[in-house]
Amino acid sequence: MRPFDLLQPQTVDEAVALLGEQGDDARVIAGGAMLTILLRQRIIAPSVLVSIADIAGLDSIEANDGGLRIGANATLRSLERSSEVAECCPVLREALGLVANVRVRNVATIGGHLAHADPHLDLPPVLLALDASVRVRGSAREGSIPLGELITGYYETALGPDELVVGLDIPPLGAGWHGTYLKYCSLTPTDWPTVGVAAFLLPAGDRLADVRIVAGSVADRPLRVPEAEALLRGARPTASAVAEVARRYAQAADPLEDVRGSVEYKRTVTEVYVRRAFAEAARRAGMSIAG
Amino acid sequence: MSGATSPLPVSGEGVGERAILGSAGEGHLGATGVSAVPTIIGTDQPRLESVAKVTGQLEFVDNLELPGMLHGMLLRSLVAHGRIRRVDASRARRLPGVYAVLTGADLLAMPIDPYTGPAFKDQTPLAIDKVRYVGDPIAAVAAVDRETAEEALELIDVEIEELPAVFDVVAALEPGAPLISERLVPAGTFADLIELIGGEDVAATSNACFQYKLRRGDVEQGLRRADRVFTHTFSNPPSQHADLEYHCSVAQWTGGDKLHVWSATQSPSYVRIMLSNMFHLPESHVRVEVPYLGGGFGSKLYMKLEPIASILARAAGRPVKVRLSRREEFLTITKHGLTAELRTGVTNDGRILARDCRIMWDTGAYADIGPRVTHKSGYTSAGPYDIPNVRIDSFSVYTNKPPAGAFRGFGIMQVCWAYESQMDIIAKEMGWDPVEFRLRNVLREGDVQATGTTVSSMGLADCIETVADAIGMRGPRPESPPSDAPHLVRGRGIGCSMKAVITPSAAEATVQMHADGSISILTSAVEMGQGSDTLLSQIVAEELGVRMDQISVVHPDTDVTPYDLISAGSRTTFHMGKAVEIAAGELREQIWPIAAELLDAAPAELVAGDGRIWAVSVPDHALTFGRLMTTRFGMRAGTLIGNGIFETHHAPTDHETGQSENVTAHWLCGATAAEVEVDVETGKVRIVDLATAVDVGKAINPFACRQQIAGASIQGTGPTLMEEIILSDGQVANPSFVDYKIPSFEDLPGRMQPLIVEHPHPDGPSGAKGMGEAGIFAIAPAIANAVADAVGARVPNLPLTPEKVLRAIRAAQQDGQR
Repeated sequence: MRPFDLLQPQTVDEAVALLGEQGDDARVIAGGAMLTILLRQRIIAPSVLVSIADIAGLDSIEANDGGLRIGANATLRSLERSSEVAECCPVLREALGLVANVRVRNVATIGGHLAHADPHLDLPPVLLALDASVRVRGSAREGSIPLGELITGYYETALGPDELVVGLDIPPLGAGWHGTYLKYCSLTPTDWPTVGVAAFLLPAGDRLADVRIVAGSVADRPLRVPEAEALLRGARPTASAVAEVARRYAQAADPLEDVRGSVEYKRTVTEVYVRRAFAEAARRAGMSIAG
Repeated sequence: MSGATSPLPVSGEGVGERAILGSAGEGHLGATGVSAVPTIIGTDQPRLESVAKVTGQLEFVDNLELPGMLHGMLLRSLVAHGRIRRVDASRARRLPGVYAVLTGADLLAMPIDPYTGPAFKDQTPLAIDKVRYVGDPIAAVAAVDRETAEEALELIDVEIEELPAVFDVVAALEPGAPLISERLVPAGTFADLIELIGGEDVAATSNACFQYKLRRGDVEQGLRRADRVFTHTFSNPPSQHADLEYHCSVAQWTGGDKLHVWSATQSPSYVRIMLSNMFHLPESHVRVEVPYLGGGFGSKLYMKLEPIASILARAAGRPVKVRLSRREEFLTITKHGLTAELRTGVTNDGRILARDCRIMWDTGAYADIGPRVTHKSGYTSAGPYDIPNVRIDSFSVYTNKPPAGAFRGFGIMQVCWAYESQMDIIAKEMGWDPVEFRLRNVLREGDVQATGTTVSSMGLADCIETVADAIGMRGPRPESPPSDAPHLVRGRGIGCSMKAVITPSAAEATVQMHADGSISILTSAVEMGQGSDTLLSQIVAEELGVRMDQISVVHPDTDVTPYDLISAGSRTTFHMGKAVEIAAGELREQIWPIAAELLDAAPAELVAGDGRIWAVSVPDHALTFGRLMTTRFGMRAGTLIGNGIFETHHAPTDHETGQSENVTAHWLCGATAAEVEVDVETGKVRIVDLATAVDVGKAINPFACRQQIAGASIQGTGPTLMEEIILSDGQVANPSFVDYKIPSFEDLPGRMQPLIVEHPHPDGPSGAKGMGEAGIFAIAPAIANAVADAVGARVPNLPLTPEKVLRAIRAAQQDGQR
């Protein structure tokens, strides 16, 4: 690890100002779960780290009109143990329990998790399916952007050099929705997922009023295929329709080959897990999938 | 217990108590109501260091800080094979904080012999003339801290003329393949290797640095007479030991010509000899100390960082610590990749008539201990079976890859993968039960093994039956697939194996009794997590009757602790255990007469236990050992010393036939049975039940035996299911735990059954044999055989990644449709 200066602003404004002064040579650190690995492996070697860990009040978790309002510095572990999260977003809580291991979850923050924009992360598919948005602060902007617009590619976000993720907003899901997050690791469960699928559905009688399916780890950002979802909307779910939806997700997937599998294999398991995630969501909703 | 000095034989059954056998006789003892004293052999004992280890209180080499100590780091080749044209380190030498910068050329200018290696002297601490793999060290820096050393490395300019490289054993053996090592210079250290290699310094003519040949019966005729002949090829890639602790050595020169080294090594005695050769010093001037090890598994054998740390320390005039990074671990030592072709002829009545094995060991750019792996695993490459006609041709082959060396099992894991996979293919084709097929052919007491050595004290048949019954292999099959999960299919499989323990060998120990009656065991056995401290203490406690808490094990310090060959190859319990038992017996001979005089009893009437000694007939008059020492010396003073030497001998194997009437001091063996669940849509394998039985001879500490068997089993699942060093043009593509995955707790089998089988060996302490490796031998084929049983598909090359399993399932389905 190269030596660096550690700056510890006490307010968001101060942090934004410091980032503006330091320019490209500075990196933001919160929990340091990922950044310290990149530093130690010398993949990055910034001369300045701006730590936002000391900023007061940035780790709050609050119920908000049936949804959630979360500060960027809330750790994944605190979210996993939060009664607000359990009540509002039980699927998110399940997914939190699957992220890496408890040692990572104890230090990793939700803001860092999202701003890192690693396509292998577990929570973006779930949060995208929940229509979550992030609150952003910078010298030229203070506002909210949908999560789908924050993540723009492999480790790339729409954040400017002096902009920070300061919070996460999850709107209420509404009554009647059921969902799940299924994670598949081809080597060991403590590895990155080979594919992770969030599936949510809203039944209306024996038909589907609405459905949201997001697959992680198989493209440069969480993958949602609206035209595939549309095949199920308004219809009675059938095994052949679900299989077709799963095939379309597999076709749309654009994974990278690595030790976890080839492109072809990752497409195959994407298909399997889209199908299984939908089936599990349907089971939780008490819906049957016709032959 | 032949040759033992103890008059207290251990009863065969009823662990926990021992009968007192003495002149007074048992009947008399029964009458007194104190017919037995507690025995500690055969009882579960917690490991002595466990609490300190998990609370972070144990010392490891990397914890050592010496005044003025520098940190050494290595510049490594980015070229797989090339001639070094120029190394310019002048800018690095000028960097403030840098005390020494060395290149291969500098080594030649020093008054040392830089060539080392346990089999061939083919490796130097820094490359001279040529680099032979991506990662080969070219230059070394010693600086005030790691950051400065790292910065200095970046200032070294290297010019290398690339040569054609070869990464595959088959290509490496083709005529015209680039020659990786130009000369073969036998190291001449180990008796068995001198005999094999012949002791001649010769020009290399191919990349095969060593060949082992075994010929028994007439294999061609046997194959002709067989009813069916099966030919298959199996392979496994190189993998890594993945010790938690990195390689680390600290070197300091004292008094001008004395070298003091602290090292994370499994072979302190060997390191001392080799450093003595390198620096032309008497062995008495080289001191090697080893604290606890954070795992070894064969990776910390022979010399690794000790030479470069010592050379840097000499050049810098200060102590130097060299510690590897995780990435460098992958570039330093690996487990051999293997390709094995087997031709096996069987008769319709279930006998194996002939087996022909052609085996290629990829030993990488330097031989390390590869030739011995090839040789020792060669003995049993045809499997633990009674086969009248056997031919084995086994080659150790250089390639431009990181060196391969010892790994738990010393090659047996790899050859067992091949022959036990084929055993199940044969059984299925012939319609035989895989358990019965093995039992029909397995070597039993008195059979002559392929090397010509008679099998004795080997309970492999017992192990096979134990594991088969443990998972219910002979009972009804599980419901498969279950109705609520049609994609989950179950199957069961078995595998078994045997190994010759390294022979010849020597182990020595000293046991001291101090003035208060407490005990020090001086041993060069390395405590690396295998539980040797606890086991050796148990043997001494049993022999002398002292309490466990009176005993301290002095860890390897070659100025203090006597010679031991290596802590490897499952040899510590059998060899060092016996040496310690003999040493304690010698001490006993000195103490018992003192007690006899004080107690007014004959020495044979004395009984000791729980830190006291008494006459059998007067149990309420017991003396402490401190009292005996005070009597002996007339005050609280003195040390009584017992020494033990335990040696094993062999008859050398014939060069052309591999035959010997005595290749090994004993055989170790084990069997594994597995039940797996395969997800046929993803190819993912989950281990439902994993039972491994090892014949330990006599379990001195059953708890520790079960831990060793369980640990070996879990470690074995890694290379079976996920572990693989991936190379791209000779460069390791996954040198970190981010991309090289090892099993986690979440990968543990649904049920683990570590099982103990006891067929005592007459030469071992209380009948104990080596066992630390045997639990890993058959994990891979047992799991693969279970997968094949479940889905009718087989992957011949490890690891069984889900992708490969899925591909095999689909290929089998297509075959089925044709």
